[in-house]
Amino acid sequence: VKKNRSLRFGALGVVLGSVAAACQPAAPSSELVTARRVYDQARQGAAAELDPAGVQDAQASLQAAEAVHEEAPGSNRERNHAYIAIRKSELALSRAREATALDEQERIARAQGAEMSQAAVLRAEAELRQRERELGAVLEAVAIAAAESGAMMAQEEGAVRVTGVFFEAGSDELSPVARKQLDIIANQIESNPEASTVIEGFTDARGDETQNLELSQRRANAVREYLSSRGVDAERLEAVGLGENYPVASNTTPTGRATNRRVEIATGAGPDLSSARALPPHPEDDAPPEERELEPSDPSEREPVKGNDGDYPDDPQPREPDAEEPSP
Amino acid sequence: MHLLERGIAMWVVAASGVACGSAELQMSGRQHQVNQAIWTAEQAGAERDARSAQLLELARREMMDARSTADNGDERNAALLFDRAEADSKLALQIARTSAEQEKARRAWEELGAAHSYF
Repeated sequence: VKKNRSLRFGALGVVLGSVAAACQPAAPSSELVTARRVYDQARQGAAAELDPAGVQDAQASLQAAEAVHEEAPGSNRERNHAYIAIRKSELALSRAREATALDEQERIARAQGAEMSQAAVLRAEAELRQRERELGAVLEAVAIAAAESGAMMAQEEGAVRVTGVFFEAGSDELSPVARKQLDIIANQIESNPEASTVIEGFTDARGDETQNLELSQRRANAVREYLSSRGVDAERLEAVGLGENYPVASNTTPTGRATNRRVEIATGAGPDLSSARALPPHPEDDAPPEERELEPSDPSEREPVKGNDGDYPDDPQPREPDAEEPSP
Repeated sequence: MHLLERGIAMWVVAASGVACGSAELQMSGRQHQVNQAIWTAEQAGAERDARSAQLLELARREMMDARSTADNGDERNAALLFDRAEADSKLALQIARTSAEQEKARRAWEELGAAHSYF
C-alpha cells in the first residue's frame, strides 16, 4: 500500500511539474533579447528626437517579433523578425549620428565664417596701420626738411648758438644737410681758436626718458666726432646729452617733434655756454625750461604735453616705452 | 453534372496557377528591391567601411538564401529573408553615409584648429 501511495505521489508530482513548465513563458531568443536592448537605446537616445520615424519603424518590427515569440517561441520566424528589429533600431541610431555630424559641420562652418570675418578685419586693420606708418614716415621726412631749412642761429654775449642739426626719430646718424651745416660750424670754430664749444643733444618727448637721455648723448657725440673729423680739436668740444628736456617745439605734432630732435652748438668765449640758453622754450609749453621737471619714464604717470589744443588725449602718436621709436 | 465537375476542376487549376504566378511575381519584385538596395549601398562606397562591407556581404547571402527558400515553395520564410537582406543593405548604406559625415566633421574641426593657430 505504501509503495502504491508513493508511486501515486510521484506521478502527481511529475504531472504538476509538467503543468508548471508549460505555464512558464518561453525564454526569448538571443536575437529578441538583443532587439529589445538595441531598441531601448534608440528610444532613449538622440535617435528618438532626430529620427522618430526610424524609431517607430523599429518599434513595429520589435512588436512583430514579440508577437511571433508569443505564437512560436524560439522559432526561426521569431529570430528573423528580431533580427530585422535590431537592424531597424541600428538604422535609427546611425541616422541620428549622421544628423549629429551634419549639425557639427554646420556649427564649424559658422565658426569658420566668424573666423574669416575676424581675419578680414585684422587684415584691414593691418593695412590701415601700414598706411599710417607710411604717411607718418612722409610727414617725418617733410618735418625734418622743414626744420633743417629753418635752422636757427642766435647771437649771445660772446657766443653763437646754432640750432640746426636734426635727426630721424631714434637715430643719431647725421644727415647730408646736417654734415654741410657742421662743415660751416667747424670752419667758424677753427677761425676762433680761443673759443670753447658745447654740443648739446636733445630728443623729442616720445619714449623712455632714460633711453632718450642716452640717445641725446649719442647725438651730441656724433656731432663732436664729425667736427673732430673736420679738424676741430676734440679737446675743445664738450658733448652733453639733455634728453627730452628743453623742447623748442610742441611734442604733439610730427613737425614739432622733428624740431626737438636736434643738436645745439654753442661756441664762444663764455665760461659756461651750456647754461646761457639763447633760445626760449616753446611757447606752447606751460613752464619755462628751467622749471620743467623730468617726466617719469612710466607713460601712464606722464603728464600730457600741455598747451596744444588737443592736449595728450588727441595726440595721434601716443607715448610708447621705446625711445623715440623710429618710423618703419 | 459532369460538365460542372470539370468546370470546377479547371477553375481550381487556373486559380492555383494564378496564385503561384502571383507569388512568383512577388518574390521577383522583392528580389529586385533588395538588389536595388545593395546596388545603392555599393555605389555609396559602403564597401570602403568595414562594418558596411560586412553587412553587404550578409545581405547578398541572405538574398541567395531567400531565393532558394522561395524556389522550395516556402514563400513566408523567403519573404523574411528578403526583409533581412534589405535591412542589412539599408543599414550598410546608412553606416557608410554616417562615417563619411563624421569624417567631414572631424576634418572641419582640424581645419578650424589649424586656422585658430594661424590667426
